[in-house]
Amino acid sequence: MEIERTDDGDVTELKVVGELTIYGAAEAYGFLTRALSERRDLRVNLAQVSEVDSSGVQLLLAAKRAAEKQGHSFELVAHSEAMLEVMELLQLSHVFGDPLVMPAQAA
Amino acid sequence: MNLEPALEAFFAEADELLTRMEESLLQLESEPDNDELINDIFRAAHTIKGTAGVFGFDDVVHFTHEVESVLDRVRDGQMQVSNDVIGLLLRNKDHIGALVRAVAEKRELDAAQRAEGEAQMAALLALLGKQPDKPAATAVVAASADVSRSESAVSDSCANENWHLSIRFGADVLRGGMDPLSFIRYLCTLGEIVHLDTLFDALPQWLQLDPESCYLGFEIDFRSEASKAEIEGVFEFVRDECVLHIIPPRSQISEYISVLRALPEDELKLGEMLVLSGALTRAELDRGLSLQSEAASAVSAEGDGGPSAAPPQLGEILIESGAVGAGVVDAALVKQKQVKDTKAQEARSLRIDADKLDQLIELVGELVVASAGVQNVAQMLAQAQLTEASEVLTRLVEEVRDQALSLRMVQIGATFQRFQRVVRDVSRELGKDIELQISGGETDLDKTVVERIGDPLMHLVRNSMDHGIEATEVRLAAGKPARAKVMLNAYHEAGSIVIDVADDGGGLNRQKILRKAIERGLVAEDAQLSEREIDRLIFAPGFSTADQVSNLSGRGVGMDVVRRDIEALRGTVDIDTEPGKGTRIRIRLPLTLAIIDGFRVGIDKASFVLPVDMIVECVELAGSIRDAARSRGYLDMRGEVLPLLWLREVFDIDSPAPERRENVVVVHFGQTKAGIVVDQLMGEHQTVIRPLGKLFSALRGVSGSTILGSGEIALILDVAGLMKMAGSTGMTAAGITEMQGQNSREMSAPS
Repeated sequence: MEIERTDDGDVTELKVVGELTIYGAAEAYGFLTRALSERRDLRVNLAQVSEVDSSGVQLLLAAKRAAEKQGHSFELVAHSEAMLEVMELLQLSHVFGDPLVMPAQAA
Repeated sequence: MNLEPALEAFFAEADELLTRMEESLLQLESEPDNDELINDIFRAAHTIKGTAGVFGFDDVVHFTHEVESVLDRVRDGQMQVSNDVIGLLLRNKDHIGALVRAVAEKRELDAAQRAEGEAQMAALLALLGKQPDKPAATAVVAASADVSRSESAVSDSCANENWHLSIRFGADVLRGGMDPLSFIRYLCTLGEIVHLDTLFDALPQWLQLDPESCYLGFEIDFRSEASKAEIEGVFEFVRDECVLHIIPPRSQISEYISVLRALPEDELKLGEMLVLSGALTRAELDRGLSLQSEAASAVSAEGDGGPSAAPPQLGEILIESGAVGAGVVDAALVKQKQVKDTKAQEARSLRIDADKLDQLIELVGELVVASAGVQNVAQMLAQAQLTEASEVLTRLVEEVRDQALSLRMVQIGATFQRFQRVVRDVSRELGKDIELQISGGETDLDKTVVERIGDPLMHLVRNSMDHGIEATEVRLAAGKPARAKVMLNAYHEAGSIVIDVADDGGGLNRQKILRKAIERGLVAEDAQLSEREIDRLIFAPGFSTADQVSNLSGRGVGMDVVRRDIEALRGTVDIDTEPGKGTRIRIRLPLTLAIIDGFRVGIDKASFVLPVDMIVECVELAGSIRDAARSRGYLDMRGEVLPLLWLREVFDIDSPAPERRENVVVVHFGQTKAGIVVDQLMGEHQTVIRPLGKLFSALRGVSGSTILGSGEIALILDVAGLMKMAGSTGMTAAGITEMQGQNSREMSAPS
């Protein structure tokens, strides 16, 4: 798993590439901790996420909660197919509240 | 719909129950004191109410509830079963039938039925001493509202077809290489997730978060045809690391209940029944049981927590932990009880011609004698194989004998129960408030004995009520509760059955007894009698102390007849009374009249048999002790005085006593112990009792004869008779009466 960071004005965009699973959970936690400590709005780009498991889901949930507690936004964008499948399975879309873009072939 | 078969089962069952209720009610009319019947009716009403409740048929529940309340009072003895009550209950039964039919046909009651229902309800409430909740007019509306509500309840339960799964994963699940998501994906292969809530309340603050711990929980509505066990199986690998509750859909509950009903009629444990029905999975049961044993050990660890701290019931634990619904557990319990009841009924229902049974016993008697013969021959030949074979045979014959005899055994409970009616009627007649307490009704005894003990018991019970129990004012003045007690109790003791007839009345008035006895010339005016002897005077022929001759007792026939009846059964009767506290009459009867385990003893060449049950031990009598015993007439048995009876002298056997030693067989009968001195001890021996001919009916000390394996005849000693005989003859007698005196003192001291 890799996380690429780009700054887009006031927003920090984190692009997750690869598996968002237990194997990279500690690393992702570290990365997110640093990002949260900067106290900026966060945007997580999930386009390149190939696999998500429960640890990934709960990490994103916890990060969202933490960011919003600081008064910053936390946004998930460009969900990959793997991410969408999990969001649907766990009926999480209303929890995150981000618009989901269904990929054309899945529709 | 899944519900239909369960509903049909309910309607069919309700029909059956109502029929039974009617039968029992009609029978109750002639036997108003039959507790069985009342219980039966109560059970029927209760089962209908319970099942109707599960299905949400509120109006059935509502109505049946009041019927049940009335029955409950009847059962507790708070309400008398008059013909009016039975009439009302019969109409109630019809109305319950109408209500159930209305539900079955999905229609409402017509006006006439409703009016009938209300009238009955009012009558029921009046019986219960309650005011009708509402005026009649609104009751109509309420009743019809009830009907419609119950229908919506039915459709509700049809719609709620979903399982509900509640699962919280343990923190280490992820580290263990298991992903909760994969379980949920797997769950999808069994059915459809209708709704899922992901719970993340357990997530800590970001900085406290351990990214490798799992904090998730799920609440899932799940539609599936799978069984509970299959659903639980999905989570098998994380079963120990998560908290899982599976709540079945409502229709499934009725299915469980109908499966429970359809279970074969075997006695099963509650948990097993629930597992079989599918309501509970094996794993849930195991956890429930371990919780129960933990709770139990916690209770015992607390030490004397008292009875209030009893370990919880499995059913309670299962309901509390959410493994099963209360309705299902109730249904299982009802089933369990039904099974037990039918078991009991089956046990009661085998009817055999008494003659056939007697023939069988007769044959078994012959068999016992024949097998004793074989054993004798085997012993004589001393051939290993034959001996072994004959041992096996003997053991089997013994078993056959016991089984055959037990066929004749009946419980005394039914005889006791008859007295409920007697006590009720007589207490009314006498204007006394008396209740009958029965215990030991399950004690078995020979059918012949049961048949013949009825009359003497009747005398004793009536006598207790008439003479024993004081008038209510006297009782209150003496600080006793107004309601008097007559107690019937039975138990086994040393090869005999003991039946106690006791009351908490005034006890025997010894002065009055003595005065009457002198008046009637039964004793000399200057006679010095012990208390015990005075008490026993009531058994003398032509004796009565009643000031008033009632039509129950007091005519002077009674107690002597009782004594004769009981003695005819080879039994004895004893009386134990304490002024102001009450009287207890104790009847002691032999267990069986046919075959006993005998112990053979010999005097010279003659054999005698003693019932083994009465033997305490055997001791050698030789040397100086023998001489001392000879002169004193008793033996010092470990500091206890043991009166002796020389059998040779009792039967005037004209041969010299053996040179070297004699043997003492210590026997006990009731409170009394004595030693019977014989020449030889010859060991245990199965004994078929043959009555002695009429010619020997006056013979005392002998109760019968038996044929030994060798074809010889041995007399069976009547221990009680011997003891009594000893009491009236010379030197040994002194010992025995002294002994009896001692015993009676011991008996009265602690009470």
